[in-house]
Amino acid sequence: MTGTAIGGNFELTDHFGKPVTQANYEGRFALIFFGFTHCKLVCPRALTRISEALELLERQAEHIQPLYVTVDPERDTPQVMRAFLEERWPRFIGLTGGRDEIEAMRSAFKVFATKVADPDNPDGYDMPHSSLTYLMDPHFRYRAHYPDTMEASQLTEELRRQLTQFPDGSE
Amino acid sequence: MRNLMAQPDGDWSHMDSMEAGQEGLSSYRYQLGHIVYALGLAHYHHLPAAPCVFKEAMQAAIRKMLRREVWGYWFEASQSDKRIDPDLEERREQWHDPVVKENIMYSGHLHAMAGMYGVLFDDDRYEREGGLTIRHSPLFVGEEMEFSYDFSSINDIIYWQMVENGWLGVACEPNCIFLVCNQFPMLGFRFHDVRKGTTIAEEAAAGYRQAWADRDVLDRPGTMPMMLMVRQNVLVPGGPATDSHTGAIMHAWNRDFVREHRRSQVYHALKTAEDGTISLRPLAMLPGTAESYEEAGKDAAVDELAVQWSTPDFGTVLMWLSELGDEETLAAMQAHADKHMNPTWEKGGLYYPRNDRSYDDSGNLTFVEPLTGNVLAGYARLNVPDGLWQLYNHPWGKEHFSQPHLAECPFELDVLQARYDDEERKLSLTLRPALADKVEARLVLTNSGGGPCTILRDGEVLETAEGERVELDITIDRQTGLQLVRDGAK
Repeated sequence: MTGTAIGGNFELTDHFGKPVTQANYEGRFALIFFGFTHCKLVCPRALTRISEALELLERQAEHIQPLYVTVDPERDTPQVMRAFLEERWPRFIGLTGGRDEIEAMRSAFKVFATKVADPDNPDGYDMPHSSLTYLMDPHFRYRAHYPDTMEASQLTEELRRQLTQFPDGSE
Repeated sequence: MRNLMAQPDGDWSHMDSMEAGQEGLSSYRYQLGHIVYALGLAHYHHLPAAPCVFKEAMQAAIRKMLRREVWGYWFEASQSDKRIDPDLEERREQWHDPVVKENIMYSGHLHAMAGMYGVLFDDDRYEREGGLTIRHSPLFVGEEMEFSYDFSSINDIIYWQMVENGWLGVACEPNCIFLVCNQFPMLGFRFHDVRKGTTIAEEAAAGYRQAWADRDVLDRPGTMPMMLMVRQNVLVPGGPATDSHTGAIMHAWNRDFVREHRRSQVYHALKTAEDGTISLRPLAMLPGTAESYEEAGKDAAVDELAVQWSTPDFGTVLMWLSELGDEETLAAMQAHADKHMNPTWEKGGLYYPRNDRSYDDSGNLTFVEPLTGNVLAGYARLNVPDGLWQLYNHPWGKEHFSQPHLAECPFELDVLQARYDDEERKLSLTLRPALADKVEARLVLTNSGGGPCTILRDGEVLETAEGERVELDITIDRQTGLQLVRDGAK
C-alpha cells in the first residue's frame, strides 16, 4: 500500500547494551515485532511463530535479522530482554531505549500500545499492543507487514517471495 | 437522489439543514455518501444490467464530495475543543487537508464511495494516481490548496490509523471515535480487497471485534456506545438512533452480532399508532438500554411533544429495518412517513421535504431533515433484506461486466427492469418516460463478443444487429419492453 510512510531512523540499545541505529541492520532484511517481555500471550505466540517461519526458510534465513522492540522500556532493560529472548527465541535481537526513543519508534511504525491497570500483574499494569510483523528491506525501507493470524508456513512463503526480489540481500 | 446529483455543482437545493456548520448528520457529506450507497444497492439488486442509470449520479456525488463546501468545516474542527476533549489545554494547530488524519466522518465515506463505485462499475477512475484530488482555489483570500489522493492512498491512510489506534477506529472530531463513522471504512476495506487483491477486510473485522470486545462492547446484548473519548478513555452511551445507523452498516461485515442483538437495541423506541403505523419516540435520542429507557420513559412521557427533533433517527431506523429484513415494521414506518411527512414527487423523484416542526397538532411526528427525506427513506425502499451484506460478501465478478447491458440512456428515461439472463442469452429492459409524455431516447446496448443478435420491442422484432455496441434511436412514449437476444438463445 502507499500513502503512509512506515518506519524510519532510530537510536536504540540492543539487548547486549550496545547503542544501535537502523544502519546496524542494513544489508540484510529486518523482521520487526513490537511487544514487551511481560506479555503473557501475544508475544510468546508471535515470537514462536516467526522463529518457526525462519526455521522453515533454512539457509535463506541468514538474510533476515529478526528484531523484537519493546513498548515497555521502563521494565524491559537490555538485561531483561536478553534473558527473555536468549533461551527460547535466540534468533531475535531485543531493542530497548529511553521513553522518547521508543515512542518515536512506535509512532514511526504506527504501533498501538497503551498502558492499562492490571491488578493481576506484579507491577500493576499491562501493555496491550498491536501484533503486526514488519519486514524492512536491506536498506531498512518498509517492504511489507504481516498479521498475527498468518501461519508460520505462510509467513515463510511470503518471506521467500520477498527474498527472491533481493537475491543477494541488496537491490 | 439522481435529481439532486444532477443539480449543478454548488447548487445544494433541498440539501441544506437547520444546522449551519456542516457538523451534524444532515451535512452534505452524509447525504452524498448515503446517496452512493443507496444507488449502489439499487443497481446491484434491482437493475444490474443498467449501469447508465447510476453511474453518472455516483460520479457526481463523489465529485461534489471533493468540493470545499463539503470538507471546509474540517479546518475549524481540527483545532478541537473542550466540549469534545475536556482535558484540552490549548487548541491544536489547524489544518485543511480533510483526509490525512482523523475526520473519518469525511474520509471514511469518500473511501467507501470510491470503493463501491469501482466494485459496481469495474472502473478505475478513482484508483488512478490523483483520482481523488481535493482542490480549492480561493477567489480573493487564502492559499491555493491541493491534496492529491486516490482510493488506495486513502485506504492506506485509514488502515494505518486503525492499526495505530488498536483497531478501535479513527477519530471523527478530534478525540472522538464514533462507532458509526468507522463502519464505512470497513466497507471501503472490503471494496479495496475486491478491486486490488488485498486482504484487509478480514484483518479489520477481527481487529475491530477484538478491540471492542476488550471493552465489553460488541460481545453482549444491549445498546452500543456512541463513541469513545480517547484521552479520557470514556465510552459515551448510545441509543436506538446510533444503534440503528451503526447496525445498518455493520450488518455487512458483522451480521451475526447485529442480528443476534437487534431486539435489545432499537425496538423499544418504536411507537405504534392506533392505525398500525409506526413512528419513533423522541427518547430514541436518549441513551440507554431497553430497561433504562422504560424507566426514563415513564417520567418523560408527558414532555414528549415538547422535544425539538434534530437528527435523522427516523431515517436510520428505516435503513436498519431494510437491511435486517423486518419488512412489516418497515412498511408501518413508511406508512407513517407517507401519512404525516408530506411525500412529494418532483421531476419524477419521490422525497420527503425538510420539515423542522417536530409534531403536528395531533401529536404525530412530522420532523424530517434532509438525510432522511432525500436519502434514507429512499435507501430503505431500494434496499432488500441482507442487501448491503450481499453486496459486501458477494460482489460481482468479472463475468458480470462482460454480459450485455444498457450502457447509455438518457436521464429522462425511467428504467424499470434491466436484467441479463445468461441461460436465455437475453437482456431484458423495461422502459418508460420519466417526466414528459415521450422521450426520444438514444440507447447504447453492449453486446460483448459482438456476435449477431436480435432486438425486440414489446415482443416484435425491431432490428437485427452485430458488433460490440448496438445503438438505438427510439421513441419511448409508454411502458416499453426491449430485449436484446443473442443468437443461439433458446
